[in-house]
Amino acid sequence: MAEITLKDIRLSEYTLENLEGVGQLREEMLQAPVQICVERAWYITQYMKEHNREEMEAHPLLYRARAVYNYLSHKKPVIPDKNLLAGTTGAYLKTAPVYPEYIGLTIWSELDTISGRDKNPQLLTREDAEKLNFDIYPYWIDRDVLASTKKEYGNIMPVRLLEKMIFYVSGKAGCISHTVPDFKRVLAEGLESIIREADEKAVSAKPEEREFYQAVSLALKGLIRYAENLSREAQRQAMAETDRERREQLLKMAEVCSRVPAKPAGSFREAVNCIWLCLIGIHAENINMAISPGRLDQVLYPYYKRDMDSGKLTVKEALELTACLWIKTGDNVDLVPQVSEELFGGAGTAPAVTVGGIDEKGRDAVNDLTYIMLKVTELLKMREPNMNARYCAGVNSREYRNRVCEVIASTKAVPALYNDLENIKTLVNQGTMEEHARDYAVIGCVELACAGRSYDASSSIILNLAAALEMALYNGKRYVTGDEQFGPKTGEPSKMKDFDEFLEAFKTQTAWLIAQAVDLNEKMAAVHQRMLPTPLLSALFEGPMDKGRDLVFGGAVYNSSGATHVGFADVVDSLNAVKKLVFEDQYCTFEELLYAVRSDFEHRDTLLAYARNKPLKYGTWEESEKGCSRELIRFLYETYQGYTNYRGGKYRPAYWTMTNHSGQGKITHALPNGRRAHQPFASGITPVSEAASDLTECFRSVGALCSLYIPGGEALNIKFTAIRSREEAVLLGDFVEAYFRSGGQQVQFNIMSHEMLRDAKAHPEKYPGLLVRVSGYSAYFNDLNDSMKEELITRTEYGIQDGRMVPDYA
Amino acid sequence: MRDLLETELSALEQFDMDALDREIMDYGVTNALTQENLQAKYDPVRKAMEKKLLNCISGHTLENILDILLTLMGLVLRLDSHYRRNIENFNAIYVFTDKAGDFYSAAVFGDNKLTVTGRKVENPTFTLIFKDNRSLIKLLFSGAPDILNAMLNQEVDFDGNINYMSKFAYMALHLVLGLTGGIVFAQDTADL
Repeated sequence: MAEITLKDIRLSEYTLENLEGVGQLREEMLQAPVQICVERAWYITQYMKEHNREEMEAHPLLYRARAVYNYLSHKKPVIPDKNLLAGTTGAYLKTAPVYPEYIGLTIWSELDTISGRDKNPQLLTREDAEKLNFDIYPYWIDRDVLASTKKEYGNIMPVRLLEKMIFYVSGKAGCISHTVPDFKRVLAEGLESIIREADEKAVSAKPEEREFYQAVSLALKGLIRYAENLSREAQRQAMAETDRERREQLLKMAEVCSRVPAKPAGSFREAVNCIWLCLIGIHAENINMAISPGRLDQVLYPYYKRDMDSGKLTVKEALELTACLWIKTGDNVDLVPQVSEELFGGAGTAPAVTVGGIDEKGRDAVNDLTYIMLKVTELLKMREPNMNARYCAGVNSREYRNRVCEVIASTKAVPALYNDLENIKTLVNQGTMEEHARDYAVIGCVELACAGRSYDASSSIILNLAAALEMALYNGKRYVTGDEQFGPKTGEPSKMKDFDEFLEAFKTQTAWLIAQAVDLNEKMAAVHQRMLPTPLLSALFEGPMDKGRDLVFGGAVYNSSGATHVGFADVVDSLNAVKKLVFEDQYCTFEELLYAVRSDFEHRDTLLAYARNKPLKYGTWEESEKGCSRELIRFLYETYQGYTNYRGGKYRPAYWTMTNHSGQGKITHALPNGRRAHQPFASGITPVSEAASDLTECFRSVGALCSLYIPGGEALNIKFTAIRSREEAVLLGDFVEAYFRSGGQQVQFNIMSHEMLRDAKAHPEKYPGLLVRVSGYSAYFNDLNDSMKEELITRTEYGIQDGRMVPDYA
Repeated sequence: MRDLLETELSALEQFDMDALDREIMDYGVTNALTQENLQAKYDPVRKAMEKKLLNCISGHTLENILDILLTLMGLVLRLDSHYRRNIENFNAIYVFTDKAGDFYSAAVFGDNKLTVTGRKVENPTFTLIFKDNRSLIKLLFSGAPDILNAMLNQEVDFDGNINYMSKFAYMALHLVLGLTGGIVFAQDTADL
């Protein structure tokens, strides 16, 4: 348990102006165009091209490590700004790296236009476009994950469903990533120590284990080579630099990179830079999707404390270095084709940082660095890193809780809050040792990980629950795909005698869809094992070095696969609507309801009003007691837990949606709850907009879902009109505490009114850098598509004083 | 509406891809002078086809869009060595058909050239099933092929590896953007 030594936990004396260069670095990063960088794709592909395919398939670990080594050792050392930390993800200040093994080929048809598109252009040079078109993409055309899966298994139903994109998204086509590595060992011992261990173990290991250790050794050497190259570049630039202060900075950078990550971190600065260099290394091997730094206030604290105690570091310097790291985490974005931009645009890479909570022994883990990180978050108001604060009622102080709420009020969006009591209980229920569960961190959006111990592949499946509902309504078909039969024939709803029969049909369709998604995930996992092992990432975990086994083969201490759901609230409300309208009140026949849904409630105003207002609504207490929400949560939990993944772990249901609730909503027809065609779904586990007029009731209702059934994590979005004072921030803290005591796992806020958001939509120039919480991660409002903006605008808004819904008169 | 010049019309009427292939066989495409001569000789045909393609895309005429596109693509692949790099060592068969099965065309890429046939081919690499010419134009030439929306609107369906569609769409769009000045790149790396 650390003592809080800061006299002022708000660190009020520090501003962007008096932190050296931080304001300028922030502006430069925010303003920097996104440059598509082909450097990684080029070196990886060149290496693969030079080697025989059969040989590579026989030794995937070694060849993957050699390809990564080839890239890292050739990677251009770039120092694009005056950030105190060395290293860049790509060759530019802000980069979209190309990962042709995954979804890098999706921009092929847009090579000539992506630089000039209206929304969020990603800049590509002619030279790089030609490299992609002539040299890189042709090699991968039959070799990326999806192509390899289709080649091996044929055009099977799970693949067909994926390619329709209206049933589920299979994360493994684009990534595994989504994890929290362990940086404690590399900080304490340096990569050379891990390399030594790998080399020693390789000597006496069994052949398959030997290859793993050899691969680890080689991949880590690549990262050290990159750091050495950076060191030389910093030295070179220092020699040419005339400004004394900048020269000193560059020389310091050169010195840091000559030590870390090869050797143990000797200072706070070295520790911070070491973590950043490791993240670059991980991204050389793994796509930049939700690789999360984890509990940085815990991991970095020993280095902070040692330097503070010895007088080598000041609070101001710690703030500056932390700010530099925060800014660096936003130096890369995903490569996004136009169609994804329109459906899901605005998403960052969601590198999640977690602070606060309790430590492995159950003691208060909040320390001075926690407050420093909160302060930096408050000052920067940037999308990256995705900031999360854990809170353990009864252990963490109210001062800490309230300070987190002040930062939320100040940034209007971050950090998200996590309930330690429920989350630890949930992880323990999944077989995690309690002390490991206490050390959980957030992956990407909201998913729970035992930092550096669990490999959770938390984005394996994103399943559209409304697809299953539609298949129950249309006897195995979906509205948008017409007569094509996908799911089992569960019968015409008009002939069903009671609601239970319909509910059973819905469960059958859901279970079928889950079976398809799981099957595809397992098949793609086999492709990953053959093509894309992760020796570098594995070296930064507990487990693989002991077992001699890569993460993708189950090397981690704990394993699981995550399956998140889109449309939960709309589907619950729709089930309740069918029950009420057709069977309880017999307001209409099922045929009449279906006719209205098919016609998008055109000329069915009365029925629409009845469907929207009479049935039970998820988000109210009555629904919790008598509606379908709890049954659905439990059903999904039991269905997923019935599957064991290729690494020996369980599938974990979750409820976060990023921007998928908007994208999937756009391509989904009307539903029985009165949601019109092509409208966004409610986000994450949040009730449908304006369904829950009382916030306390809403919290009780969501809390009652039972966290044990949500082991993958949840995102609850709540919007307050405004928080105008510290006293109101305390009220926010009280709301959160009450929610957590009722069983909630996570909550995130937008502090902004309907009016303000409408104004921001109409006048984007007035709101540059407006940060909003989407569903699990943060985004810049101006980057979002119109549908997503509308979803944010129309979210239920509450007043902080009474927790009552504020009507949206527009 | 882009009108064809008389010379272009006449060249188009007389154009025979097999004859061009024979010329290439006789002289060899690697000979720079021959390449230049061929380009000059077939320039009116190329221009005529380009105009016809642009007319299709702008909605003035929709008929035979695929024939025009594939013929133009085949011609440019034969005349333009830079564009021909697109199909170096590229062997693939694309089938384009409509839902009713009334239309059928196969584009066979192999031996560094494109051959188009109306005969049924076995085991195509990629099959694109489209509703009508308008759907095809929307898919290929909107600037960013949105196959998802096209599928949802029942305008197209496909069978095969979607990467092949991306490659074909790039090649088709590149031809058009080259004519309309729609290609946009970032400045050279050095200037960034």
